[in-house]
Amino acid sequence: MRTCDQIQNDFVEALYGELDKHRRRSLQAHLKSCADCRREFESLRKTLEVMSQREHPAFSGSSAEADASNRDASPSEDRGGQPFSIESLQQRILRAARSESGVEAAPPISIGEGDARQSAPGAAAQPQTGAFRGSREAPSASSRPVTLSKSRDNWRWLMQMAAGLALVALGVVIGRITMDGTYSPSGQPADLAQTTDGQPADRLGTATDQASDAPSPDEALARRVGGYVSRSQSLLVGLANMDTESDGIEAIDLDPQRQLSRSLLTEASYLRDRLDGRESRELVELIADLESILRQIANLEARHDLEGIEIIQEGVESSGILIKIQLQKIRPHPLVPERNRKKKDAA
Amino acid sequence: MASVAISMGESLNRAADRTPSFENVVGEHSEKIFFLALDLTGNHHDAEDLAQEVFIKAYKSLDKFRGDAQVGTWLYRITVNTHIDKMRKKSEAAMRNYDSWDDEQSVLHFKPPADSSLRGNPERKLRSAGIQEDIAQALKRLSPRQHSVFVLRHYQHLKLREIADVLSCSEGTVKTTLFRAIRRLRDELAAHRPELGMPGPGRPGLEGSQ
Repeated sequence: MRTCDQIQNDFVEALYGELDKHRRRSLQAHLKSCADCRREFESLRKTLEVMSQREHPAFSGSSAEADASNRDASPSEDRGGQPFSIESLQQRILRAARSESGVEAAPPISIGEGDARQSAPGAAAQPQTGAFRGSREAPSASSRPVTLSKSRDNWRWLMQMAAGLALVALGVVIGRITMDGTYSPSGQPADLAQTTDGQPADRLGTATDQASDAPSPDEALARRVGGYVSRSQSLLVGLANMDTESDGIEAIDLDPQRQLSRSLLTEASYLRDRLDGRESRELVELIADLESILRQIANLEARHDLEGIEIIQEGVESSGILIKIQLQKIRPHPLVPERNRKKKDAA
Repeated sequence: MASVAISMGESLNRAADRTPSFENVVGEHSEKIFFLALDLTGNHHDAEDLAQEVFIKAYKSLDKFRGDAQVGTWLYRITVNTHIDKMRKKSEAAMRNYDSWDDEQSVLHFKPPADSSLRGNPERKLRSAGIQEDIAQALKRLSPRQHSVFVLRHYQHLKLREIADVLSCSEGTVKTTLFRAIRRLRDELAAHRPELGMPGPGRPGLEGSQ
């Protein structure tokens, strides 16, 4: 028998029709017998009904007036008096981007340029690339009439595909890391962004390719740091996304995660001893932050320590550690000389 | 690719035949991003500014973005984060102007009690007339993060899982945030919409904790 608190934990999913059959039945049964929960649920449901009556701001009178008054204060020269269209917004964005690139060194404007060398791929990445490439055939923005009423369904489809494939890829990478003791960490920090972006399996290939390069000691250390951060990230993402509410979670075996975090802790203490102050403060802090979370994971009970997982999930969320990792990857690594990075990019 | 007029860098030529250009990203995603911005900001003018800011940020960091599979998610993330940043800056500025608003608790001070004599207040009755106004006011009472999560689920129809991807957090966190948001909206709306039939304020165990 579930308590009122546990039942209310399902309210959000129930209100939006995301509850599975089993828990929906259990919720319905509880609501029949518990007046307090029933009242609470009904009031929330009615609240959402009221919220659904919101007129789209684009078409409601009051905000149109607000618009008109704002428009005078607008610094933009092209909005006054003209009716809004997506097309005019696109023109405005492209103009702004052009003036941006006039001021600074122009960044590459094509997406996925950095991926060329890793394109060997993953069947996993193919359908999405294909879907996106399809858009290339469309007429350019300047000639395409875009209306406000165009359906948004494409977006939903893309999201669902992306989420599903990312999960599969993540499973593959975690599996390989935990099963394969000989995994050699890749050291190129910019490379690591792949871990959450859908093509992690490729990176394992590049890592082994690079092993034959006979790296300098600095480079080797940088690779180890990169590998440490990247493996920790895989572990954290896996745990952070673990749904502690889903059915069957009780059966989960956390042993691989614990073993991985133990080996990562050993790695962390090795790295900590060898970093010599040339590194950025952020990197040192990141390594230390990771260490404390890894220690928590290592201390989980081997099986179904749901509470432990939830505590770690909270910790990951509140420390913003995944964001810090991403930031670290964006920065050029102080230990890897510029020429090496260029060389690898060219390869 | 003759239509790409922004830059003709080498990298572009190399990749042009297999990946979309910035112009195509704008063409493909600007409408969705604009509608998201509209839901977040609540007005046209701010929505246009937000959408432009998002694409300029994306433009500047395209070289950091890897893998074109999740351009949409990436752009959504930039939109929400940029909006939350703006809201925080705005509320910090507001707090500087109002000494008494020095913590969240004191913001609540401005919330009309649900079942006090204020309900008979003619001014309040007048304001209750417009449901659009009530909705807008209630939405303003949410924290920037609660507001964003609510918009993504209720107006953008993203699933909890998808919202977690956009916000780079766990699904459980999204759920908790959304639950608090809905309770808060209920409490705000119920102040002048008794038909919501909410349980009285202060009912033990039922009030959303902040």
